Amino acid sequence: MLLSRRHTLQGLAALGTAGLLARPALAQARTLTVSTWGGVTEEGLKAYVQPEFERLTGARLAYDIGGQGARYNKLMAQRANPPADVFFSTDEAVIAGQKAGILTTASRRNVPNIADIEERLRTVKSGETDETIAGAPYTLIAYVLGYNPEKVTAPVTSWADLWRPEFQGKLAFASPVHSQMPAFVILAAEMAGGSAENVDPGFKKLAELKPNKLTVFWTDWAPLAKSGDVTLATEFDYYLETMKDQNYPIEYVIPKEKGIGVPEYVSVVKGTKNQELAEVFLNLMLDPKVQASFAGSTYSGTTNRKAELPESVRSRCACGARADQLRFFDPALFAARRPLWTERMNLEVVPSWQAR
Amino acid sequence: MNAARTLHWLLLLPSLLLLALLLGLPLAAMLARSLEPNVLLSFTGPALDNYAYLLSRAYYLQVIWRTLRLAAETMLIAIPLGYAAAMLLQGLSGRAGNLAIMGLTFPILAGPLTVVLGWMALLADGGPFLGPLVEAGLIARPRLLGSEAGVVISLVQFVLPFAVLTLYTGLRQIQPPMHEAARSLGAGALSRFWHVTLPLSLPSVLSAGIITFSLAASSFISPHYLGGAGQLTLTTLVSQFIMATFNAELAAAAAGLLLLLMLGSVVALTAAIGRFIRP
Repeated sequence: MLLSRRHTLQGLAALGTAGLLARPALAQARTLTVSTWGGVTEEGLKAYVQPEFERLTGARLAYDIGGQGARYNKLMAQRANPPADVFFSTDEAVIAGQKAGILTTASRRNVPNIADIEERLRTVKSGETDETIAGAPYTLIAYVLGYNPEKVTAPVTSWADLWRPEFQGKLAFASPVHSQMPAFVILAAEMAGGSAENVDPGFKKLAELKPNKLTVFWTDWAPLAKSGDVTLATEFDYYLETMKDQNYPIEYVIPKEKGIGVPEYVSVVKGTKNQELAEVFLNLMLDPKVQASFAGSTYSGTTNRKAELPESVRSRCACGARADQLRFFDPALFAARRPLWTERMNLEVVPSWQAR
Repeated sequence: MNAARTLHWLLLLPSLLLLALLLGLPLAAMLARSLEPNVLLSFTGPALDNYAYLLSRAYYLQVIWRTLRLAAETMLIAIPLGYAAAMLLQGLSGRAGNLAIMGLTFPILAGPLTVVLGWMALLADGGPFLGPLVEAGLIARPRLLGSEAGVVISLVQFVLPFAVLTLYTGLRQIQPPMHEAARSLGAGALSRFWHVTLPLSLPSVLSAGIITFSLAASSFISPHYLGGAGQLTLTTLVSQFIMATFNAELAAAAAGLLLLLMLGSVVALTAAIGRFIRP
């Protein structure tokens, strides 16, 4: 035998030394894991954010892709050793996540671009201090009304059109589990003489709708729009723009009572070992150039005042002036009421809909 | 305990341990969670309030009833279809039989999601089956997607291979001399089936019934993609509690109910069919 035990031990010792020497280099090649939606968001990140992030930090980006609910539950289940460093979500989920102890704040100093963000789009107030910010509201999307221009008999202009007889059985409406369900509870309550604090009339009013499809994502009702089974739908503006590009018979309108404005956040996961890297990422998501590129490819709106957009893009996203046509509900109210309101939707409203 | 029995238990031990670890523990954790208060209901746990809540609301009773109805319909359609297919399969010779079994198991290999996506394309009223009929004015535009019928159709297709294979194995275990004896006594084809084949195959009918019912009641993909928010079953309700309102406690209670109902159904099924099984 050529290899004696001593030789082997020496060899192993040498390997061990090499390993020790290599360790600092390995530690430098860190990875920031981004918990985000698949599709346009993931593609946009890979195209416009990842190269710049890796150039700035030398760290790598990894992705945990999924729906918001599934990703949120993952963070809940693995608090001790979180599976991601930054989390993409609605503003409401930032508040819920802070309360549940799975999301934390970022240093204001390390995210200087926050100073250029439209004040009204910074809807999450909890966690905002002189030193800290709740997260980065990197885009603005609007929940509005999409309709089939060939089928409607009169122009669609108002949320009240949802109750128009011609749309009974031809309406795709937000499911009780949709992120914007609480907005409709309040809107309907206001139409029926109630308010956010007196929502009973809202549930009664919603029960009078006659939707034939309950939707969470635009693909839920897209085939029905094509076949003519749906002629009116509640949907996000940037998905409706995508549908227009794909030749669906769809136009959309921001209702005269104002559309529903939804700032989307990226925030820091509590317990991350990469707080500084996470803050670099947040700052990058607020960068005017990054936002302009994102808006150009996804039609999701910019939040940075300095973002410069060509007119062809500006007219198709919730960018700049369009935000004036939007109403911003308090996400803290949504977070507090959602469990009860979802339950009331299921028990009091859905049974009378007989929708699918 | 004699040596043979000790060996018996020793051999069973690894799988029992695995079952206890991978199924028993999570199940116990889930059931414990179902007894705790949550964002919707405040009470001092552990207590049965979550169960009481679900069972006291007409909407949830409707969800439970729908779950059981879908599972029962699926089972009642799949068993006769599967029985006929198993008898045909039995008549096939070696290679043809093997090919047929491979064909049967293919949907299992493809996985339920792939198959359900296929159904979404087929059941759409512009799809290749119904589209031409609608175009020709032969039938009115049906709405199978999002209907209970659509869910049952896909569930039957999903459980059918399991039913066929279970029944096929049962039919093969019937000794051929039984048939020959019946024939020599002058029994016709129908009479041989009624008095020999069917009674002797009842144990496999029971197994197939339990398998198809359980698979249908616990399936998530079909009711989720083909049913929708207006057609909740217990599984999609559990997912709604977890994903939309992050209410793991109520979700656990709904899952606990599903488990109880399935156990109850299996017991009822065994009692109903077991009566006809001759020892």
